[in-house]
Amino acid sequence: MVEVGRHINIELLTLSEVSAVSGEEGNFTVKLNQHPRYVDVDKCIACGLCAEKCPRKISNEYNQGLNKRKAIYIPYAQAVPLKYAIDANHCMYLIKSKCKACQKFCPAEAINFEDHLTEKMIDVGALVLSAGSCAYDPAAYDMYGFQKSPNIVTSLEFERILAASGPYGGHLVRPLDNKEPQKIAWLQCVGSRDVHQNGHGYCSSVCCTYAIKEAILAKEHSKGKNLDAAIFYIDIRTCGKNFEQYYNHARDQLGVRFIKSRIPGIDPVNENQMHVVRYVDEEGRRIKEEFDMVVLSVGLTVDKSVVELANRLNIRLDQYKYARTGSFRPVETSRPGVYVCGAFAAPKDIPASIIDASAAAGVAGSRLSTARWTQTRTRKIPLETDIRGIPPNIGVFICCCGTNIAGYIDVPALVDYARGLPGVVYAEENLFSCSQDTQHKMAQIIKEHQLNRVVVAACTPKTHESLFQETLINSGLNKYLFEMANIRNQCSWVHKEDKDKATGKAKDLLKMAVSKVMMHEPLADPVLNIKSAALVIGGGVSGMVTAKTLAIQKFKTYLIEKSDKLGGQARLLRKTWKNENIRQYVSGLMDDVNSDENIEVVLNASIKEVEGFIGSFKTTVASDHGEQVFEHGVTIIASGASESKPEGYRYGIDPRVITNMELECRLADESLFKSKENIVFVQCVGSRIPERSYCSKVCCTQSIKNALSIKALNINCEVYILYRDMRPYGLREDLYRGAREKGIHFIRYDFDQKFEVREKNGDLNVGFVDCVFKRKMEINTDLLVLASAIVGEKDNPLAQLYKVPVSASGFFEEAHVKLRPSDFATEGVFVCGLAHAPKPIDESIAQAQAAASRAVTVLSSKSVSVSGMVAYVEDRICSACGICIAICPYGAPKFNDKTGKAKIEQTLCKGCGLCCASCRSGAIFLKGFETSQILNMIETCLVN
Amino acid sequence: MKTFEDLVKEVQKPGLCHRCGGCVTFCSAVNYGALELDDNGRPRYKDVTRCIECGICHAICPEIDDLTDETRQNVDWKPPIGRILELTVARATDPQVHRQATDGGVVTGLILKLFDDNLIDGAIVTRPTGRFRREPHLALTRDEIINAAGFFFDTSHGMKNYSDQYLTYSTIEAFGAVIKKGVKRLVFVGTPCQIETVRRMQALCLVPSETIKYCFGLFCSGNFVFAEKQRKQLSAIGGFDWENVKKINIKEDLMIHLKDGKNIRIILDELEFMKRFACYFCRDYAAEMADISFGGVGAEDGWTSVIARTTIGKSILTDAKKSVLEACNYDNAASTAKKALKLVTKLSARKKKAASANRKALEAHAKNK
Repeated sequence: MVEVGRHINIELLTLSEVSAVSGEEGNFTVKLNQHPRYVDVDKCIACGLCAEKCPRKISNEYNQGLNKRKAIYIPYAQAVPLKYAIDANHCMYLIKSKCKACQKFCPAEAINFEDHLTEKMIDVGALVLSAGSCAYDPAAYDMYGFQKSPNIVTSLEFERILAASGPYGGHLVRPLDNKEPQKIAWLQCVGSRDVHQNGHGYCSSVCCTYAIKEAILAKEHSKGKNLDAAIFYIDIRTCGKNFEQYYNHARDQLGVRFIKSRIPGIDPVNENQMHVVRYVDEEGRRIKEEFDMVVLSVGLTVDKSVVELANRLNIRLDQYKYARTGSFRPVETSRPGVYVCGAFAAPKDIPASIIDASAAAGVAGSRLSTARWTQTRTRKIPLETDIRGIPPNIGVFICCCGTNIAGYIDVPALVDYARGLPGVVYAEENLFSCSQDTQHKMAQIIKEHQLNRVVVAACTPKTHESLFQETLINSGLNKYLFEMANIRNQCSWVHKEDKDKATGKAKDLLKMAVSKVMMHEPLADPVLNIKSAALVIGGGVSGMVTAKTLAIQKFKTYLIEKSDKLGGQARLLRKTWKNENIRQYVSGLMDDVNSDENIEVVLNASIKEVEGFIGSFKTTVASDHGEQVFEHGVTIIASGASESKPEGYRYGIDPRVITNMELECRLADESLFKSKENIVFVQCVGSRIPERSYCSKVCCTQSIKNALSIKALNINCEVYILYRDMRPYGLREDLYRGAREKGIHFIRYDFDQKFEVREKNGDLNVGFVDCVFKRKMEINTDLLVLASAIVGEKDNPLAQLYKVPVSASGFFEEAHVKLRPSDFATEGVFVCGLAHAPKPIDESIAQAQAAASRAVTVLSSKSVSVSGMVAYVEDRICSACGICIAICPYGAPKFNDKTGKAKIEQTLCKGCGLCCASCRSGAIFLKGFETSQILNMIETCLVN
Repeated sequence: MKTFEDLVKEVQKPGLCHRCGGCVTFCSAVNYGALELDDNGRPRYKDVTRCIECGICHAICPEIDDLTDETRQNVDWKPPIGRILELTVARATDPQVHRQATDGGVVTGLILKLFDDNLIDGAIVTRPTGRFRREPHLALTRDEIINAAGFFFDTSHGMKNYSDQYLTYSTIEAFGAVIKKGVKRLVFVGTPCQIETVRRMQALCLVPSETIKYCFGLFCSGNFVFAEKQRKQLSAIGGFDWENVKKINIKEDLMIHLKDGKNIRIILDELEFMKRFACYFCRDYAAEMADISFGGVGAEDGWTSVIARTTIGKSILTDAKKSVLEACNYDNAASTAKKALKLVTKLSARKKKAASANRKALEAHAKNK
């Protein structure tokens, strides 16, 4: 938020609504209604005095009504922009002409009661709707008792209860009487998968995972960690990347209880002030259990105001009011030039929303690429203060990180300690050092106290180092005069049991950071030129879409495909679950790619060697054309994945046993199914097993889709789908309901019991134990379809070649699972499609567009700067032994032709320090980690 | 915008100020700090430069009509005496509470139950501080709550320290303490005029009224001053010696229970000399804006009439009847309740009529001036 808030090319228009849009793609005129804030944002300093003096206390919607705020307010402490606003529905002056206290007390004269609704017109080339979703209101259902008992809360209320900045300061208590709960129940699918009058038929897709998260956090917040958490569900749908492992961990290691039972209602509070939940357990016993609190896992819906907005913009919505998108154009609405991303397109989680966002920005940008750089501004960076010769004036900022740090470390003691350290002239604590208001404060303090070194004791530099460095730059300090002490990941997070010892360690970490930063010198960032071409590895749908998106913007793209054909897995598919024609789409895509002059396709290719780094990669590719060396600025890995060949189930032995993909091919021949009487699908073949613990995400939907196709061909054929959890997530739930209505049988089988496939008197016999009757069942089937796992390439050579991590299951590991799903930690390399994780075609296309968008952030500049923390060689000490050259994974050191000594190519160096450690002569040093700095840290640490 | 000056002109000068203290409380609670109470409990400017002329003290004064409709709507007021969900005659089961109480000890009993169930952090009540004097008090412990009950009679020092709960003071002053101590949920016990002010503050969502979760109102015939002069006159009228007094109570009449078992009743009309001026104009007998209203009227000695007026009030009462209260089980409990209601309605009507007549007289008097 802070980065968006202060970006020079992003103009934040708050309290604004689009009232009309005229024009067409590339040339829209947007009419905005700007509601009055009644506070002048140029004058407001966010001191908070107005809120202190405001006499009117009303329900705080941010904390879900659990506490109060004033009529003049900011929603929460980290708000961007950090300016107050008057709630016109509750201000006594605006309603009753009384008060005006805020105006009388404001020291900046920022209150303006004359403010009024204004209209603003802006000209844009494209619009992106990221209007999001809102939580379902369970008050519609009487029997949940939501409005009657304060201890029955929605999941959002529970989030606020758990939050350090929430109404209870992070202390987990129940709202009725502030007692600490011992037992909490989560009820899944509230308002979702519900076709009754007040519910929605779709699956909200995020609730299973978030309920597990809340259960785990609740346990952590409880005394002795032995809070009893019970989740009541229909199916557990943890299909996202790494979510299935999270579910397993919660159930097996942390003791979260999972009870398959749909709870229709909650009894009101009994004499023990507890709520009784009645359910039937897996054994069929009727159980009444008391709980302190009940959390309703509410689903997502589209807010009424968003529907009105969509109507004003002439966007087509589906029957649930989500923006209608096609599987092949997942971020495009029905109106050209208007894009959609995130939960307004369909209920989805954070990683998928971020992929959508990059995709929408990328596609919109690609269509406007001819106007690139014509409207942007560049920031004037303040001149760097020359600090040479001035003794260090160190400022220390210690972060509480809500309760993440402050809950386990004595922060005030740490602040006092910091003040006593040599060189430190200023120390303070922040609730969240990374928030915008702290950045402002920091910049001011740097100027006021003339600080020339800054230490932030908080989280890992990986999260916010660049944020703090920008603050330093804005204050005229070189960004390398900065050091972070990681007292969260390396202290409070891992030493939760002993506050004294944890504080002691934090003190040591802080003291070492201070002693190091004292010796920091300003460093310069070397600048690289960017080669504006891209290399896309993999000619499937993801690869082709990426290539096409880049080519539209006139970036030269090399599309490298291992096999002799483009198309990838999509060649084997026929229709999407929405019944769109995949064959047609893929062949159209292939035509576009082959005919585009900016795309060079290389088939039968294998990558031999890779050199270089972001902005200037050199990839050697062998193909039918011999060896070619491509020079490119970015690499996109779209190498895909495939359906595994199942082990067991008589696959490969009996021709009647096939996989889902094989079935897709056979569905083209209708006659094959006219005579079939029984067909059985088995889900989770090879997925969600100990050897492969992830969920392959697409198979449940695929099986339902294929089962419906079979039924369409032969209504009399009995189709059975044997499952562990049915996971047609999101809007796909309707398909599942339709399948049940068409008479397809869904039977949950017990995974822990033997599942047998045998030949019995010439019949193919499937034997399993079902979960309802707990009896062994057998089906003689004409065809057994295995929903086989999606697997990545084992030991994928791309990982070594491009220096990117890949997991044991063959899927690439992105920079951050939640916040950077298409990037790698290695700069200049991006990932999309099945290579990242199992996903359906619409999500692959979205991620392909996202990867292209991320790549363009590099390609569109002429140059990029790299970190100044690089190694350098002291010529006089170097003995030219060559160890550094042998040991560097990035190929940065080389022998200088003239002097014969080693020289480090700064732009290639990643600052890993291997060469420094390995140099036998001690001739190599790392800027930012000089020997003197490290020795100083060690000495300070060892001195008592 | 209206200011405190207008209040002085419109309310204090004509003598209509009940001394409920709402104006001062709000101004202090939100820390503008312009008003204060003098020794007699009358509001006045403390520091006129701090007045920001917000007009709120004026709006929340029960004598000003600005917010009457809104507050009535908020509690669903119905003629003739407010909304009535239930009228019961009850008393506390805890003998300690019962002993100390004026009537049935129901108010104290209910407060204790809410406190024990952790539904409140404390109660705004009054506590005795001297002969015939009480002061507003924020009770935060069980003992403090019990201590606030009833009246006191100290045998070893004569009638040093008994007070009459009708000698009301601005319990609203205790609000100041509320803000400082950061308590979040309170029950407020007060006379009808004080309840009215709280309701107006709640109608405007004003600090600190959001901490008042429950309003307990006491039936009120008026505020009687028991100073030296009045006591002398009273003992002359009733023909008794203060040394012999065991307990004083006001129900339909002033009841003086003597130690020797005799009961002296003096009708309220004879006590006009003791009544505060502003009370002559008050129309609210049965605390029509409270969640629950309480009084001895309509019940036998040692029992309290309880009127539940809002759903919150009724749910507390229902809960309490299972544990800390016992409902009277006269042979015909229903008709007892009916009779009590009739009596309360009659007394309310009488008070309203008198108030109406007095107001007319006041207006006429003001015009002729």
